[in-house]
Amino acid sequence: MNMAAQNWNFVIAAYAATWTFLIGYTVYVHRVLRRARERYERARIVQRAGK
Amino acid sequence: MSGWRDNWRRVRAVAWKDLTTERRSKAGFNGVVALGVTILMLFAFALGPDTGALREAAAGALWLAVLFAGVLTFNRSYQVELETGALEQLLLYPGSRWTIFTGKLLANLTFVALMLAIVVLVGIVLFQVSVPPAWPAIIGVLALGTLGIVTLGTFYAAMASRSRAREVLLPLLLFPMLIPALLAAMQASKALLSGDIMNEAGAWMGMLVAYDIIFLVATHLAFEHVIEA
Amino acid sequence: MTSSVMERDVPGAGRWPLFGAFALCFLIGTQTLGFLTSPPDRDMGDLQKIMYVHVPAAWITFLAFFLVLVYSLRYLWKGQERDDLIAASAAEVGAGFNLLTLLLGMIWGRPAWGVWWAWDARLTSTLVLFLIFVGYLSLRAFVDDPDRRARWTAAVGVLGAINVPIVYMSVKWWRTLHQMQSDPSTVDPAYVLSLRANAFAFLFVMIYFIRRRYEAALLERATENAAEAAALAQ
Repeated sequence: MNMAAQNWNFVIAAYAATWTFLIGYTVYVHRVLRRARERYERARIVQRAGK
Repeated sequence: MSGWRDNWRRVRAVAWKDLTTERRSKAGFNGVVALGVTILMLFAFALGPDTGALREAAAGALWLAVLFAGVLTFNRSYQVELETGALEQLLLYPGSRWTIFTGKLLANLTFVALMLAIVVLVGIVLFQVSVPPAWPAIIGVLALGTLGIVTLGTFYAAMASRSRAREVLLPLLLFPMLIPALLAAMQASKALLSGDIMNEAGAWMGMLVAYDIIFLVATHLAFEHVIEA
Repeated sequence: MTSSVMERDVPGAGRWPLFGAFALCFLIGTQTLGFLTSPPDRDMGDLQKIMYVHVPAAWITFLAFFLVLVYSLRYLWKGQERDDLIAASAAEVGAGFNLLTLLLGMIWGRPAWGVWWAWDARLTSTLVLFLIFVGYLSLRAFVDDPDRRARWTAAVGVLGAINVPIVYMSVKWWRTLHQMQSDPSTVDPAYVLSLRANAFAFLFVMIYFIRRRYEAALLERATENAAEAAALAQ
């Protein structure tokens, strides 16, 4: 494999790493958000019921 | 100006109490010194036995030995208050919170300085260091570096000692913060030990002075937030 | 005198998902732009294209830490729980971008310098910053009381931020005094437009990430505060 082709592997690796992080964190933050909202709604229902 | 006198009295009281408390007994001190020496030996095993290599590494090894052994003293300096609930009592007294910090800082400085003196002497022997004519400057570097380490160590220990996983948390928080000080101290020491051909020790010492001033001020300002919570 | 997060503080998602979608599309656009319009560099060849992700990631890392500094100071000054949560969200997002920056630095460095790691001032400072982030996040994980956690991490955040330029300077001196490789420096004007465009794209993504993470943190705190209030009322 010549230099240029080798270099392209690194470029691809770089962009792959970047998008893995971006998509990964997006999925993560949405999951955390969803769970937080569920717990919050549940707590609100309990609170309303308690009153 | 009696405010200053009161503050100074408080600082002295805290420092004296810390130094004389049973935690700071002979046994505790001896243990820390022994640890420092052991760490020096481990470095020698890692880097030696060639004289040239040892002399190259001496400055770095010494500072790391002092750091690792010294770290043990910082959490301990809050241990007594934690176990007896004396911290709440201390906080009941009116007045500047920073005096508690200064008191502990002075006590820790004394402790670490004594330990460092012994470890340095042992290090000179073990690492076959030839003491250069510039040795007063080296003492200056030792003082400045120690001040930086103890200032931040005492500060972060105020938090680490009161959280879970305190043994991990203190080094984790402290060591990255100490990087400029350690780098400067190691490079200055190293340069001075080998005659400082490039005259770099002065620049490093200047950086140490700036670092010490900045963090002395920052920690004193931040301490009240940390000790009250 | 702290002000806690209450039910009225909890936001809906609002327009933010839309913003997120926009940020994503914009980023795809700028990345495509960068890929298609920049000629191979004289020295680095096609490696230059890594610049469009590595440099923005680095900028965002430092921007995020700056946000941690600002909101930590604000929290210590005003005592509003919200500021603590923003700082914490920024720290988490910043740590992520920090790790990415380091990884990309290594991916660039290996073919460019022949080694996976070179102790140059910028990469080293970025690693130290990451350790400071980790310290901050660990402290948050190990302290349970919210008030104490907020104050302590605010202090740690401020001190850490003060240290960052000092670390950079000291590592730079360390390197120049010992004459090692020089840092990759100025950007060829041919690349500036794409670089700026990508930088903005990353900025929008960062804003979106921090905002949604903050939203989740607000919900969590509001839930906890409500539970506390209920327990006290009994």
